[in-house]
Amino acid sequence: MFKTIRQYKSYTSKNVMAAAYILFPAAIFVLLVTMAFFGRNTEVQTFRTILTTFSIMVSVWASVVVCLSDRFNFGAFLSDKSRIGEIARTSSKGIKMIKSITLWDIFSRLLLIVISSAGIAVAGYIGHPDKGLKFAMMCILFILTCHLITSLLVWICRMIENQTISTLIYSFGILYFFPVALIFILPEEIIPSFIYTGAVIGQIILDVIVNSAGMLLLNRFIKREWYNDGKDRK
Amino acid sequence: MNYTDVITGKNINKKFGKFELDVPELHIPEGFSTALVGENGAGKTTLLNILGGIRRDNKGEVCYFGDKKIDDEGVMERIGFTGTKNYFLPHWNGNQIRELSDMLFDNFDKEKFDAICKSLNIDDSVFGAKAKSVSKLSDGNLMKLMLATVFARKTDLLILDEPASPLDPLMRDLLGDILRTYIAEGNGKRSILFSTHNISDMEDVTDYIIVMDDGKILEQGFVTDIKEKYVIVKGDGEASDELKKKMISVTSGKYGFEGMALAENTESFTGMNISFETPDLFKICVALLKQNSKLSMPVL
Repeated sequence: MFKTIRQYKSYTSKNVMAAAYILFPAAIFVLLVTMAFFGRNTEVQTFRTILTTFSIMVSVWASVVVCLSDRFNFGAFLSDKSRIGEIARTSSKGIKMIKSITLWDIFSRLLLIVISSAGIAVAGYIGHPDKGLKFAMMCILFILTCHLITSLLVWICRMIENQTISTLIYSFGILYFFPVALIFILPEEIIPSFIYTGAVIGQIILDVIVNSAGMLLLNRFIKREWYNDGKDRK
Repeated sequence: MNYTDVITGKNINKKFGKFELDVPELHIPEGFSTALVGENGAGKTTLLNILGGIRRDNKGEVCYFGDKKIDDEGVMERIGFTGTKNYFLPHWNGNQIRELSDMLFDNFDKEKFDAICKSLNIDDSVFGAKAKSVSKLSDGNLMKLMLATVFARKTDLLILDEPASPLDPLMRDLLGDILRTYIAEGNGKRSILFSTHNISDMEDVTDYIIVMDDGKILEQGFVTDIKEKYVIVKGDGEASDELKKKMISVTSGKYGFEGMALAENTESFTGMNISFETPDLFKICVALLKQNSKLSMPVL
């Protein structure tokens, strides 16, 4: 893992990576728990606003990091048309590096989403033991949905080899965050707790499936590009 | 001449639609510089990509440094490869290429790379704090950068795809010196395989030559042997049909004709008003390639 972090360093500054992957989620976790502890007696709506704001921050962070890592790290080895730079093919380490960077990218994102979500859940429970946890589940659901959609679209971008569509998807990615209004519209009481729990687990599974499928596709793509291509090229 | 192979290929085959690269046997001698020559589309890049391990979708077997395969430990580290396109991705800059090469190859020397970039006078706008991407570089500077990444490594075999094509005459001359020094300092253990269209410019660096046409090898051998194998035939007026049959290629002009023939057939020209000359590599290659070429003089 540390070797892969060293590889990241080459394309994105150490500070940016540290902020993106470690400082930001850690700060969210600490801030949420602290605010929840000191804001135990605030009214429910104020507390909901705080949690929602943090959920949006985490969602934006997760989605932006997906796109950033795509451009700076994944993109460091693959061109816009997803061709592997020849220099990487002339090294025995090249393909292994592409795979390890992508794996580390997925693993770190999912891990840090879990940390941030745990922060929201803990904050929700501390803040309002009766309603807070349920509301925190709604927020986590929202974060996971944003991450899932962004991951799905980024993987599509990586595979479709169309820069215009990729740019559109990246540019309008922020639109995914509008459903946040639902958190305020829907009172948490209308849905039983087990549905929230089920939905969160379902979302995590879907997220893992999307990213694993992406990895498998990448693997297949590398094989196609390296071992089986050239049907129409010399 | 006794030599061992640095690369041995058997039944290398790759099809693209109507094109077929078919090389039943390939020997690249160790300790020498080998030039791969052929028309555009002859399959030179495909063959070099297969030999460089860039593509693996071919049939056949390729061995390196004896009986080692490309994925055997340390083999890729010993090979320096430069391609013609897609070698670097267009959005990379010089700093990233330096870092990336250091990550990809254990034998990459960063300081040596810097020194080579300086001595090759590579456009320094791709380095430093506000480094531009390599897509902004001219073809010549891009090739120099590719060569710098390869020369900054300790290798025993260089596979270079048209290294001289985008270079100016001065740099081409320097490249010749670099390649000669590379071979000389290797004490018979370093080898080079390069493709080129600039046969005359690269003749001084060429010990062994492979001539390709339409995916097949037309001729291969040491330059000294090849030069002894062929002769230039010159004569006044128009070449007779009988004469044409004995020659590999003939070109007629205002003041007579010139063609190429096998040196072993010179006795059959006895009694004809012709003269013989020793050919240079360029003329041999042109004559060999003309046999099957679809090129013809357009009406201007």
